[in-house]
Amino acid sequence: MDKKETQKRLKIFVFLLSIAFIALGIRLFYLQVVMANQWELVSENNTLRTLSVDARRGDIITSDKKVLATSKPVFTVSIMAGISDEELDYVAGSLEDILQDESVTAEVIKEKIDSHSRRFEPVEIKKLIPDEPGTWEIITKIEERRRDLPGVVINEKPMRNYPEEQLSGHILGFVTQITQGQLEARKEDNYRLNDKFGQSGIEQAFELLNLEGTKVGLRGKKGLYQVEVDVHSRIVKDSGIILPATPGDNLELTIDYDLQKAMEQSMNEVISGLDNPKANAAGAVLLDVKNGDILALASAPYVNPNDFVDGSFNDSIVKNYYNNSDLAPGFNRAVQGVYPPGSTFKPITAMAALASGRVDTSDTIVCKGAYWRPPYIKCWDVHGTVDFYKALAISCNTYFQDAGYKAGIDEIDWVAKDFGLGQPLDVLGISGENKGILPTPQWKSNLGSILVDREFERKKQNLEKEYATKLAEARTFEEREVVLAQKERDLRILETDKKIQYNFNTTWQDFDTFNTSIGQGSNSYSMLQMANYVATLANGGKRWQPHLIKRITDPEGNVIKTYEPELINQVGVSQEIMTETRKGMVGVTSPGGTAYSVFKDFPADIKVGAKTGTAQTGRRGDNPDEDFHGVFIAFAPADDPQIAFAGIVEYGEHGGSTAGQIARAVFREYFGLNEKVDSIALYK
Amino acid sequence: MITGLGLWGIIMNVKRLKNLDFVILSSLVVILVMSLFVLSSASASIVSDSAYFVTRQAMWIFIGLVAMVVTISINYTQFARHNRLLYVLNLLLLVSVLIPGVGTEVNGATSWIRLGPFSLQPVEFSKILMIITFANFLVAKQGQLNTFKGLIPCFLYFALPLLLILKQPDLGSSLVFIAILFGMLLVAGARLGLLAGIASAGLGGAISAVVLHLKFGMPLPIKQYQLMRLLVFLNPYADGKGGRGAGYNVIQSLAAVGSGNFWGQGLGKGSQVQLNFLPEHHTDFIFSVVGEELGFIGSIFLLSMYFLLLYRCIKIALNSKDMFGSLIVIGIVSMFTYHIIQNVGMAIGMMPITGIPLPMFSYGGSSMLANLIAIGLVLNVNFRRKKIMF
Repeated sequence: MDKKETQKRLKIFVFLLSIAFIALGIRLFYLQVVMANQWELVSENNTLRTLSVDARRGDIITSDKKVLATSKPVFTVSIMAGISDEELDYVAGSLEDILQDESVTAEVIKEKIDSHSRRFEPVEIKKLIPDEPGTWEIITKIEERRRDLPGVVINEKPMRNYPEEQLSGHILGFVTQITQGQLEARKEDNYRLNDKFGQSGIEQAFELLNLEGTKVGLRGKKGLYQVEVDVHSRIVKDSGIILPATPGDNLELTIDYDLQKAMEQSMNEVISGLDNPKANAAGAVLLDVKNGDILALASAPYVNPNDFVDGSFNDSIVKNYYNNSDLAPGFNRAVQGVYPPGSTFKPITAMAALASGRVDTSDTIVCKGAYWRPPYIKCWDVHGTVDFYKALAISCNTYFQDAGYKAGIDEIDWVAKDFGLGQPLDVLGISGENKGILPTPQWKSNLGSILVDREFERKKQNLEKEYATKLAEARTFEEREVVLAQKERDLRILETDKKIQYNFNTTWQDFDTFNTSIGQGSNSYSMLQMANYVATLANGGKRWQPHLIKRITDPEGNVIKTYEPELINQVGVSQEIMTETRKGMVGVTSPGGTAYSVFKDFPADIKVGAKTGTAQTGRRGDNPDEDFHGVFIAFAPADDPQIAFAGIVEYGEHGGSTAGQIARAVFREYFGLNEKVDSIALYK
Repeated sequence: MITGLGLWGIIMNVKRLKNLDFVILSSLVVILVMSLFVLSSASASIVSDSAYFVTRQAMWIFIGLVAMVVTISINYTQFARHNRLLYVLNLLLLVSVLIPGVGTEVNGATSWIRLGPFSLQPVEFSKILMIITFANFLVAKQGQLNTFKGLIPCFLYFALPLLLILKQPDLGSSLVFIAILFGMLLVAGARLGLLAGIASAGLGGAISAVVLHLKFGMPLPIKQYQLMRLLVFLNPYADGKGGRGAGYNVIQSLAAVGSGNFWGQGLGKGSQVQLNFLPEHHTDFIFSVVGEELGFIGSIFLLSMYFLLLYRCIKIALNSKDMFGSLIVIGIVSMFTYHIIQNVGMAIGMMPITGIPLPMFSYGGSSMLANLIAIGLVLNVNFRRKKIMF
């Protein structure tokens, strides 16, 4: 091959080489100049992780500015998602060694990471509370071993804290990690898997709500901070906060700290003083009669919201306490529970009787220990001649059955309804309210027909079954005919029986009126309704909407919303009648009255109007002659009422000695009688 | 017989010294120095002792430069005499890795043999032996390369070592061999149309085999994941794993190069490299480090250095005193060219991923040593381009 040909070949070679290099150059230009921004973004997404900063949840305070719910800083140990499996094995093992917590083993840690679906968010492994022993040792150990613990981060976070522990636990509710259902339901509010969410009470009701177009609530708004991580999700640089979190709004309650405390303390004292092993629950409400403010509202057994946020709930003793279905501590007896009012219903009957015009305060009956109309429901004593005032003071069943009979059920129902009994109150911030039952002829008819129909269907089906076997056993045609005739006859008997039952169970009977008049039978109301009725009676018929939330303020203290008193209705019963009834109720605490002993040491200028109640529990398995709830209602001062009380002690038997003691404790606190005693004690 | 000209002799011989190509030498020095800087940045995130890789690489460069000088001192025409011996030596070298106990398996391929404290990759040296022996073979076949029939012996000559490499298996290196084959045939005078025909038939055949496999399930002699690795550069997100699947390396490399922008992030400041998002960034993906930390300007500068070096080499091929010399140089140029295009192309998403090093740049002793010996051979040919009169 000649030199020229070789030269030509080499030129081709150079040409091809140049084309290849130019192609590389063009591609580089395209990547690094034209598309650079886009690839820069990919690179940034690799390294920059934007993490959320939890907002400090708003405080909940009493009307006298005592803090019931706040937040305190805790440390969380988390693992950045995106860690590789081999590293996770190692890190989980090391953390198990460092944390020394039986509930946080390597297995648990791995499971937490695996079940975590959102990449780029750290998974919380353990909370460390600053003033608990061991916290600083753990933090130091993790910091020392930082290099061996890729992806492990310690963050400061606000944790919900209830400084008064169980005080007003039922009202406050608590927060826990958001559930899957809540997460989906509140999608548009940007909740994330690790977020806390109010699970009951005020924490739930004021989690986040839409108030005239703006979102307010305890939750606040999360902030953002940015970190730089390497391919193993180790944080290599903390770029700091890029959007600070906005703390949640604060709530001021109508609750008075001292009254609430007095109510809960005395509730516990009363319960622990009772012999009946079933007696371990109570509920009570104290209202300001002039505006409907809920000054105290308590339920026993207690709920300590801290147990649900600080991990105590994982302890089996604590868990068993809350899961004990006999105790049911989570059940708010003051609002969710409804109880037969017993004799505390009698003021309603009294007002209905006077309002009907068929009974006058001076009219008397003679109590011989039982009512004279069937089914001759007993009175608890033989009272002899009884008038309106005496009847209330001594709680005479005979008198009120007759008064109810004369007034008629419609009159009683009208008055009870006017005072809010059996009506839902829908208090903002209180959930799970039970509206109870005010028995009326209509109610009985509806309920009774359902029950009778159900019973008839059940019996009919049994009959069909019975005859199906009989027919199958019949061998001849004649036998079959006989069996079929028998069946026809039995069916007719059943239908006749149904008609009788129907009449009895759906038609209002006189004895239904008698039972209702003395607060037995199907009557059942919440203590909140009872307190509302007493407050209405006390203030002269203004039924104020009970309310729990006084105002919402933003983190800077500016008032966002004030909840003003709201009048539901002015009752139709005349002032005179209410005055007479209140007078009768003062008689209850006067010498000879059923609650005389409860308030006898009160100063003469603080007269209390009250009514005791001893109600049959009506619960399955209870002995109707032995098991009674103690119910108590009261208002004071009688001359110019300010507060109204309703309370129940389950299986407390006597209203005066149980629920009455709670009323007494709260009233003493309200009127400052405790302080007087204390100051005397000081000078001794 | 080796001529009496030792190292000292070369240096003393001023007449010959001026035959040394200083452009090649300076571009080589620039590339080597740049490689040490980039390597020091790239390795900082791999080992705590950031000097570890750089020291070792510098040591290999030193050994390589010595070997280069030694190579220059041996008159290349001497190699022709021992051609058969060199060919057999080459085969033995390639067989050695396949012998259990001698060859070491790394990443699924037995490409290494242990020699005392070092591991060597025989295939790097095999390329050079192949170039020398094939150059000699082609000199003998001058004028017979115009027909397909005439080319068959050339293919057979290549086939044996190629099969041994595929046995490892080392797809990347076998492609280098094919590039060398075609580069040398082109300059040796094979008919252009014929070469172009064979090349396009081969490429077309490979492409249609892949298409048939993907569309109609035609069986291929490689595993599915290997095929995906080869094809993923076309669309790194194709497997629907959001960039975490087979396309991960390509995407991270593109992100590195792309985020380098015009001026680069600065040495030691590229997050893709320093935070280890970019895999194998001291070896196969070292060009991505250049892209990220030194930017478009640095990348183009490095490519220009390579181009300058290769261009000067071709010049040497042109001025060689004989065909043997020209073919050796062209073989080496073909080898470098393929390595560069393949390695850079992979880093910027133009070529499939096959792990072969960037010549005189990637970390690795065998490849550094072999490449410097190859440069030595080129300079050797240049050195003796004219008959020297004593």
